[in-house]
Amino acid sequence: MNKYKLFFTFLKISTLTLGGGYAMVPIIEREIIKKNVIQKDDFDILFSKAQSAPGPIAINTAFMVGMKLSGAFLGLFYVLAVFIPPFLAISLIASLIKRYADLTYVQYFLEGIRVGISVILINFLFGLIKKFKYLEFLFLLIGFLLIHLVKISSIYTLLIVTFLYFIFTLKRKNDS
Amino acid sequence: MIAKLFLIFLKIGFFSYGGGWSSLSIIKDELVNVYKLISLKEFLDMVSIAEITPGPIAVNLATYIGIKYASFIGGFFATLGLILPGIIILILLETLLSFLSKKYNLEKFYKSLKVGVSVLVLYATYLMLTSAIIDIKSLIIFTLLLVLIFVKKEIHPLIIVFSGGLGLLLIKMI
Repeated sequence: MNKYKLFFTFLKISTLTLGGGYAMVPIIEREIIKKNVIQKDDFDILFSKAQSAPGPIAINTAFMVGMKLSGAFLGLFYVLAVFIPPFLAISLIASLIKRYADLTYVQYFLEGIRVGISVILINFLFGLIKKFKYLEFLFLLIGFLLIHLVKISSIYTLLIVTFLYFIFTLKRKNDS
Repeated sequence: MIAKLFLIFLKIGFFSYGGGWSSLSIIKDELVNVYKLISLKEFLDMVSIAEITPGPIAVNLATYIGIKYASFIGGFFATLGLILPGIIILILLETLLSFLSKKYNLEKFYKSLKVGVSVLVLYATYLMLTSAIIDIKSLIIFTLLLVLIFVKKEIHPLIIVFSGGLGLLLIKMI
């Protein structure tokens, strides 16, 4: 398998996958392993690295596949493949939205989708907090109050909760 | 304007840990509350549209805002800003990770980050739920979908198109 041909694999996956980055990663994994480019274990490591950096997960995963095979240049090449389809799609849609977004039927459709997204989010949230104990739930609650009632912006809430939890668990470990 | 868009999304990109769903809450805060580039309704519409178009949601939103304010160049640079921090950090991590993880307890840091990210996902869930479930129709769709994922135990990506279709279908019934 020519590693430059993988560009088209990423292009295809990015074009055909609806539902954002988390829907894309399992398909990337399947295709990459099927083509025998990277083994399952290596992909798992690479994916956990991709998750440890900020930014869209599908973009980071594509970049890490390129990094693994050859280096940053190939990584950027794959990122371009993931980037092109949504860029074209939104370019087309941006002008349409102004004209059609407020039509009743479009609004009903978008409202339906919003319910779908809520369900996906609930499912995703449960996955995240599955292993939480009472301490984590306490921080989750405090964080939610900060963001929702005190109206602290999401970025600061993220920093505050992460930092406080880090300090708190660090101290507890030292005490015991 | 192009430089401003680039910097706004660079900031969003830098803090968007945990993928698209947690960055929704950050994007909403920065674009709707802080910089007032779009209204809450436009944001919600765009999130729905991003779900039925190719590519990561955050990328779709960055491209849309960029194009809205500074045409295609704006769309390009907004998206570039969004993905650049992650790529730079990944390159740094690849070269420094073995050294860093020996010296510091990174696992603990990532665990803390996960708690922080969960807060953002919880808030995004709250935001979506309260704007999605507004009448009996949406409540019916919600219940249907919940039952569906409870039975199927996994979420098919097409559930989004399905729920949009239900949104259309139920107009006439209720």
